[in-house]
Amino acid sequence: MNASMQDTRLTCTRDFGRHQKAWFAQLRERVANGEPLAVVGVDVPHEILVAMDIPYVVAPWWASVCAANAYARRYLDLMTHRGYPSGQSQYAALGFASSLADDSDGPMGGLPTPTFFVTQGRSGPAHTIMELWAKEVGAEHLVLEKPSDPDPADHWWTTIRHDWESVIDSDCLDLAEAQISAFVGAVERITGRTLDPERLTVAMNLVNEQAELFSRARDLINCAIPAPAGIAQTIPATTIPQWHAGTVWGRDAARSFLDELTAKSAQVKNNPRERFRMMWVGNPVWYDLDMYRRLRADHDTEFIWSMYLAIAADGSPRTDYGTVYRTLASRHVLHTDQLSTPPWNCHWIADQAVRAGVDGVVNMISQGVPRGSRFIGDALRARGIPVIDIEADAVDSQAAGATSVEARVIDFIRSL
Amino acid sequence: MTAPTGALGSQASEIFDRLVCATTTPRIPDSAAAGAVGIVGSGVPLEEIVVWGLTPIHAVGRRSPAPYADLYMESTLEPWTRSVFDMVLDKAFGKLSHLVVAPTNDGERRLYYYLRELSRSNQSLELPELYLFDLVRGDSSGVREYNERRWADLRHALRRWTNSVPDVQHQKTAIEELQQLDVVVERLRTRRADRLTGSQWSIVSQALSAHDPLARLPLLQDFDTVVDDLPVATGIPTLLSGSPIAHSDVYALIERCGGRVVAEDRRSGTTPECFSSVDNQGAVWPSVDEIAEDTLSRAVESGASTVVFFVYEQDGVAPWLVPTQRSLVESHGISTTVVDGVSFFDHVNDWNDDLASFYADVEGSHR
Repeated sequence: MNASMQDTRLTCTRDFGRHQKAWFAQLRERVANGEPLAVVGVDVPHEILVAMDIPYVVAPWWASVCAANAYARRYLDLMTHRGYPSGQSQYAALGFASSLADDSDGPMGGLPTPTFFVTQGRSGPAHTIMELWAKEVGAEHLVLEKPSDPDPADHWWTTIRHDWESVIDSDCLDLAEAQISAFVGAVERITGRTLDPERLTVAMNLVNEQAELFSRARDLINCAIPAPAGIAQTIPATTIPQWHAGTVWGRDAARSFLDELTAKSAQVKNNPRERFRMMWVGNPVWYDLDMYRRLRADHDTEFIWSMYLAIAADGSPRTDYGTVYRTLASRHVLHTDQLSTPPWNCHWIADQAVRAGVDGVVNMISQGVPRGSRFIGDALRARGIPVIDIEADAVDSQAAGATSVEARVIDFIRSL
Repeated sequence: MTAPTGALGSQASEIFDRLVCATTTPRIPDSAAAGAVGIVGSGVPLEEIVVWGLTPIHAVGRRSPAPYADLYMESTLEPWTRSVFDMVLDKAFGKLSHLVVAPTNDGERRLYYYLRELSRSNQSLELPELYLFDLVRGDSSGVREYNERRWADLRHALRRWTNSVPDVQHQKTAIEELQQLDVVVERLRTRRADRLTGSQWSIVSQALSAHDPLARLPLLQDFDTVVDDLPVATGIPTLLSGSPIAHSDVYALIERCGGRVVAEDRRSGTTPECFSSVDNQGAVWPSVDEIAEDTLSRAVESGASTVVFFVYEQDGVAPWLVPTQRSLVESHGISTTVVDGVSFFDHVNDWNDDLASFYADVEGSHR
């Protein structure tokens, strides 16, 4: 390891990991005692489930857990054996694949049998995969129909938190609001629980507080040279608390993340900066998160920006409430587009790259997770930022082909 | 490759060749462009376009290289949609004044946003004005209200584009012509069982999805008058399932190998079949089980003893449906096979052997 590079490991990340394991063990216990379990996409209104005290698992998180614990290949082989496609939508499919294993020895003890599933939109294969998963385990599948905004607003990230009505098409908001109302009814029917509006408001406030803390954390990293932490640390430090968004623990975890970043930033500010300050666009390679540590140790390269913290900072806060369901709608109706569809994602990411002062960008292209990567690359290059496009998959190491992701990143760093 | 015509009588052959030619003509003349509106996706109401005096041009992709899509659109998106991306940029549909996109899948949705972004970032590109006609499915009041507003917005846009209001007589004539189109296609559909090969049917259905479908009406009516002169079609009756648009090459390959496509399910084959699953207001998406049951019932109703699943899209919904469909269909004694369309055009000889072997096995088991 290069002596000039600081140790950017975060204590809070380890703590969050421990909390997550304990939380998951508790979740298993609750489900074993007859409580419902929901499996949801990232873009559905989790706040409803929090307010109704319904345990839930976010499907991509479960996929990342399976991949990080080296279960992906085995599960995907099982799925292929049943006649499902190989090499397609693997990130979306890994959870379903895990349900095909007769597996009491799965990651973290295995996922208990879900009671219902929730996805937003039906335009791609993800909803079909979720439906197959629900069918496999005999659970109900709820879908929130996703409207499409014909005229996306420019620079949405500058105004959406205060003035979403002017950023998001009104008809889209109306439909999303109605869908949330119907969703609440469906969850009440399935679980026999009733939503308390006051608890929902509390959850909404806690989400906003957490998002504000994430916003400060993102800004701190953007400005700190050298950065106090890289993405292998900040991604779990973001996603785990964000999963618990709407709870006191989720908010406090975000605060401890920010506090630790602040302290670490003060410690490292008199030390040499990282030679290369990089942005990672797309999902990280979950099967080899240690790659980021090796790149830092061996090539003085810190990946300081990922979409996880940035979208938590810019995508979630809603400080000016209308009605609660409409506010929720404004938070979730664009979530996927903000990350995955031009023009929402490309200009935001380019703006982020400038603000973070990165030297280069790895634009990871997963063909099975369309996000208009070419437009992202073009927007970055238009700002004069070097970009490398790398085809790979977040959960399948074989998708990158003969030349590893790491080797290609190293070549790119050498070219800077 | 187009449908074989040698077996037809001379008059039928001549009419069918004209239909093939009209259907596969890739470009409309620029003179028709003043009111030419491109249509992507199966949810755009043709009547709404026609009654305003505009010419609907179905923007249907073709099997050909798509270099622009290779740059901008993910390779896993549906290949026909990727092809449309290139064809719009190449003006292969002629000079369209507008392009109405009614997405029914992620690829078509991305087509709209990607073209829009390309147009915004490159002012020198001369693209048609893009319009998103976004219907959603569901039977809730929220969905109905959203869809009603989409229709109202489309009419408002049409008024703006034409700077006029529809002439009542024109409106009536247009709707009558479209109804005649439906009638003649339905009549031809009833001939499938004994007179039309799958290849011939694919040309009939492509005539609807090709440019300016109303212009094909006289040809289809002529063909309808001679269809009973065609020889009786032979081959093992097959239902074609799988990706949204099956290529005529697939029909031809199946027929060469001993099969005969007598029906498609809602996700495959012909445009009218695809249209049957299209959003009407209040329509809901079928479940995986309902889709499998639909495949089975279509196979049974059409007398198909085999089902060929043709899966062209790399990352669409169809490949995820196939195991459930296959399982149900096979449990009713119907033989199935899967043609992986991704490699189909590169390995057509392999598929020829596989399919010939499949039909030989089926024939052997029936003896």
